[in-house]
Amino acid sequence: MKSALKSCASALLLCLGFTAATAIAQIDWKQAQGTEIRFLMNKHPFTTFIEPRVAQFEKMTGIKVAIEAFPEDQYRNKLIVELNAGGKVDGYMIMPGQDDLYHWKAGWLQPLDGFIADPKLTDASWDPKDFFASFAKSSSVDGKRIGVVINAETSLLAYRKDLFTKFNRKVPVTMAELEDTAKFFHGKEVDGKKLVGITLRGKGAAATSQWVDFLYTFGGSWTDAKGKSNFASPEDIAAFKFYGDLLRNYGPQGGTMLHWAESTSSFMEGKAAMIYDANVFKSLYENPKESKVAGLVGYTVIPAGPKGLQLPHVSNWSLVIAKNSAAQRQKAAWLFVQWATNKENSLAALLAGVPSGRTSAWASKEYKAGDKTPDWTAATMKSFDIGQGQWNPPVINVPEIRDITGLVIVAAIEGKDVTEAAKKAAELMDKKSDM
Amino acid sequence: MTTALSAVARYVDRRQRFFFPAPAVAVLFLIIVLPIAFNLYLMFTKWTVGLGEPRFIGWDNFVEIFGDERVWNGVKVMIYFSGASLALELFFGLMIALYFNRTFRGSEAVQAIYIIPFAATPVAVALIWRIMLNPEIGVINYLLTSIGLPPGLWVASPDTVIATLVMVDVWKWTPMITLIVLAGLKSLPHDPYEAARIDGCNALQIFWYITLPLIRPVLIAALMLRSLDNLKEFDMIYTITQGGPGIASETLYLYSYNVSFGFFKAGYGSALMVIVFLVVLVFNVLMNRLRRDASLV
Amino acid sequence: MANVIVKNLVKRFNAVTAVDNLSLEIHDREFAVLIGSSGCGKTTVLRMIAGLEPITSGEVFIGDTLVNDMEPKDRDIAMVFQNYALYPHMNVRDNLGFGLKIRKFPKAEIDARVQEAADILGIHDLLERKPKELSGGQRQRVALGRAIVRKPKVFLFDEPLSNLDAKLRVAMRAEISKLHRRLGATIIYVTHDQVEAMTMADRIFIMHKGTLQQTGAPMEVYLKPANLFVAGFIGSPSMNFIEAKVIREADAWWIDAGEFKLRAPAAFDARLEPHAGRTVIFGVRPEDMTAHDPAAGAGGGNTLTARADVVETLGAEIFVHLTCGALAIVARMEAPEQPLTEGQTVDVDLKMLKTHVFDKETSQTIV
Ligand SMILES: Nc1ncnc2c1ncn2[C@@H]1O[C@H](COP(=O)(O)OP(=O)(O)O)[C@@H](O)[C@H]1O
Ligand SMILES: [Mg+2]
Repeated sequence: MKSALKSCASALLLCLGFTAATAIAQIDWKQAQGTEIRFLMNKHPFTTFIEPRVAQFEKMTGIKVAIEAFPEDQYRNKLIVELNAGGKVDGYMIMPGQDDLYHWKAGWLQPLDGFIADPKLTDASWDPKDFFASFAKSSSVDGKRIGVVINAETSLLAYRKDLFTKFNRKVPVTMAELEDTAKFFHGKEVDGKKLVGITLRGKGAAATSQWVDFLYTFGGSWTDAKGKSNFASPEDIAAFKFYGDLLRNYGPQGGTMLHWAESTSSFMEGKAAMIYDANVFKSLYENPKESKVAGLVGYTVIPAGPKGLQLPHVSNWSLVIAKNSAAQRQKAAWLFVQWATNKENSLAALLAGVPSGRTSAWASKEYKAGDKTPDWTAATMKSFDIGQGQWNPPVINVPEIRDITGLVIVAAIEGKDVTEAAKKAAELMDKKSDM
Repeated sequence: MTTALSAVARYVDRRQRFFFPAPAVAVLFLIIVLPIAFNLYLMFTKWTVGLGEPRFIGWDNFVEIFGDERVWNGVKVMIYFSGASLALELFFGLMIALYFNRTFRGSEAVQAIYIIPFAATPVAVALIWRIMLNPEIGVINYLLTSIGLPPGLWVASPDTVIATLVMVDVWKWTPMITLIVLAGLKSLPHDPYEAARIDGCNALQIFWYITLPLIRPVLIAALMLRSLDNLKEFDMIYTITQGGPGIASETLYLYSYNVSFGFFKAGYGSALMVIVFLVVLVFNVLMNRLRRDASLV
Repeated sequence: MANVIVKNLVKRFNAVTAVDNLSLEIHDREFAVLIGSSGCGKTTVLRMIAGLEPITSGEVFIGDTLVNDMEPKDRDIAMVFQNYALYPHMNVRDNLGFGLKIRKFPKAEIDARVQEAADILGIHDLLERKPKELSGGQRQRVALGRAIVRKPKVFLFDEPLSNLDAKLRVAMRAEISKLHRRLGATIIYVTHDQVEAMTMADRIFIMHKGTLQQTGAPMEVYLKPANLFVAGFIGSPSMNFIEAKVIREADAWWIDAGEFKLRAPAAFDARLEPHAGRTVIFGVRPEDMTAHDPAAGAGGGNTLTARADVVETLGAEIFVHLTCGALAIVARMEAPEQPLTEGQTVDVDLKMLKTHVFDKETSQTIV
């Protein structure tokens, strides 16, 4: 019974594959026929989505694809070990905002510009312009395109629509308004509960991922033109101070111990009027089983900084091709990457809950038809457009520098002398950075 | 065939002292000697795991250690945390052992309940404490406020984080000290106590002049045993605070872990591990000496 | 005055009655020995006097003060324990001085007393040692010293010599006796060793199963045991007990054991008369038997014939294990010039005046 179902399903898939193939067959998909390629993947929702569809690709191209997927920690270890040992890896996935420099410096990444530019290798329907600008940028190092986005995320300001309506507050569009709104709600009693104005991550290194949006929006940066730490600059200090003051004055108790789990659960408990965190946590906020605020949440992009800047970060997973792989296998790997990120798969992925990096998918009728939170979609798309791909310090030893950054964030939340802490961290960063 | 076999048997027989320990020695070599040797080598290198090969840099890592504020912070936190928790665990462990040393109605049930924290899995216990200590949603502040006391920030404030961790550590490990000391008390000779009663001691004097000196070797042994874990306390601190807020509860051991496994700096991390190891070693050598003096009775 | 009076003392451990309605009166400066076989309750009595064991019922007076509810430390006693009970963590000097230190004696006084005790016991060289660096005899001296320095009214000794070897025991016995004379204190000394009791005691208190059997000077309890138990307990080898009938024959009272008949001395007559025809226990100590003197001739009514089964030679004396029909008798006598061979038949004379007769039912002494 089960196997009958299975064969039915594969027959159906086969038909679909044929129609798809005939529909976009402008390049020669069989040009690498008989090649075997091996991809290492993180057990990410995208991997779960694409794996059952690979047979379709194999049928269309005659290329054999072996996908090996592991849970994230294990994946990272295995990947590094294999790449180090020069193992037979043709393609894999990375988070460029965190890993690109490291892999680039190690010489593991194959630039893709040549493949994309070659009309024999890249089908016109793949349409590189369809990707949000920020992700094309984020998947590049030293001006070279090294990956294609398969999962796209950003951070958004989420707020309680019900409370904003009840108290007749406008959604903040500047940082000054954000502070003012947080102040307004802080300490308000609603349904017998005391509200906090806003909740944010405050736990040292973990907070840098959201704090960096404030850094960019305040006009700050990780490093100056000479590559030295920019923490002691007035813009950076302003960002540290604003973030720390906001959380200390209008956030939950014990802000320095808030990771995303504590911060989001505070918001989901209905204890906070606003939260700034990853856009994908929408699925938490809107889950009525877990959240007391499901259906009550509005979404918007980060408010503008004092100079009008509005620079949230975007983060993404990308598929990359290994430099080490042979030319023929690289060609086959590119065909696979191209197919996996084409418009059909991107839309199907988005519909399956894997946020795509393609504008066309988000703008499609199919997606919009099922969208229960259009303001989230709008905010997300805007953020993808204006976002910054680099959200980590531009160094190889990212975790260590994030940790140093976290010390200043904690000092700011604790109300200590931020200038002093930032200066010290800048020195430390310059001492410890591996470029 | 048989003669060949018996020749082998004879060969092995005559060299029993090499053959029989061989597997144990091999395992020991693999799981203890090799990693230590590797660690000792790494501490003289600069190596980010995954990036190239370890590069020999001599004593540079140790020079860096002396200029590294987080090392000094780690030492300070370690002294504060270990000093306070070991002292309190020893004190309460002894007091409670003295209390349990008398049989009373239901004492077995009370003891069984009492050792639960010690028997529980450290990480699980730490997780529960972490949730209970949460200033916003934790049950401890809920209880405090419901009886009219002000809530605390607990591990969320750099001023109280170590004291709070000490409290959890004391809660978890005092039962172990109690068990050890109780076993010691039960094995103490009975008659010096009667001699002391006749010599004129009251209960307090008996404790001070008889029990305490007699139990001292056991106390020191318990302290050594506990300090081995305590100086390298990891599970509990890591689970509850990860060394935070900031680095307010980052012990030297936690820092060395962060460097090695968080920042992937294996060379510098190894050098830090060696420092931690030296601290533990020195402490135990001192304790051992104390114990030898004390046990000469 | 430091007499010790124990009135109707009872001690029960759950079901076990360790001490059963015991009354003692120990005079000031007396060396009293409490003796009895192991488990008879001696230690328990001593511990109740010391205050280490709660009393079930009865009263204990020390120097005419009722001390039932008094802490041990307030009773002005010192105790020497069977296994010394030295403080293992203190050196000998501190062991000796501890009781004084606790009682807040001035340092100089403590030093002087420790010095004095060390002189008496000859333990000067040991003062800086820990107990575990001492031999059994040395520990014993330290335990004694610890009692001495306190200069208490009453010393309590619980089998202090039982862990020492025979030779050391003899020496210590003499020393303790000397000490008693020198200190002039009341001593209650518990032992199961009758040699210690006989050699040291002013008076012996014999216990059996928690009750007092007899009190008296050593020779008194030896010569005039109050009952069968005391008679058997005191003396070594033990008194021979033979079941016999009291009969009247030829104007005299006879002890008829079946295998042999012995004529009771006239001095016994009045006491034996009420038991005419009854079965009694006849007792004779081994040392009250001698090889038959042929010069005395037969017909003295104090001779029995038996086979020498085993002969143990101790030098000047011999122990002879005799069988007379079904009866086994031990005799202790001078070694004869002609050594006895085992299996040989011998005639033995009894010193009839020193023999005893006990009531079989009540175990009480008749003669
Ligand atoms: N603490 C105790 N608990 C129960 N029974 C005891 C205890 N101490 C002594 N006894 C019992 O009391 C009796 C007398 O003991 P003890 O005074 O030690 O005898 P002794 O010193 O004459 O050998 C023994 O039967 C012993 O088993
Ligand atoms: Mg006894």
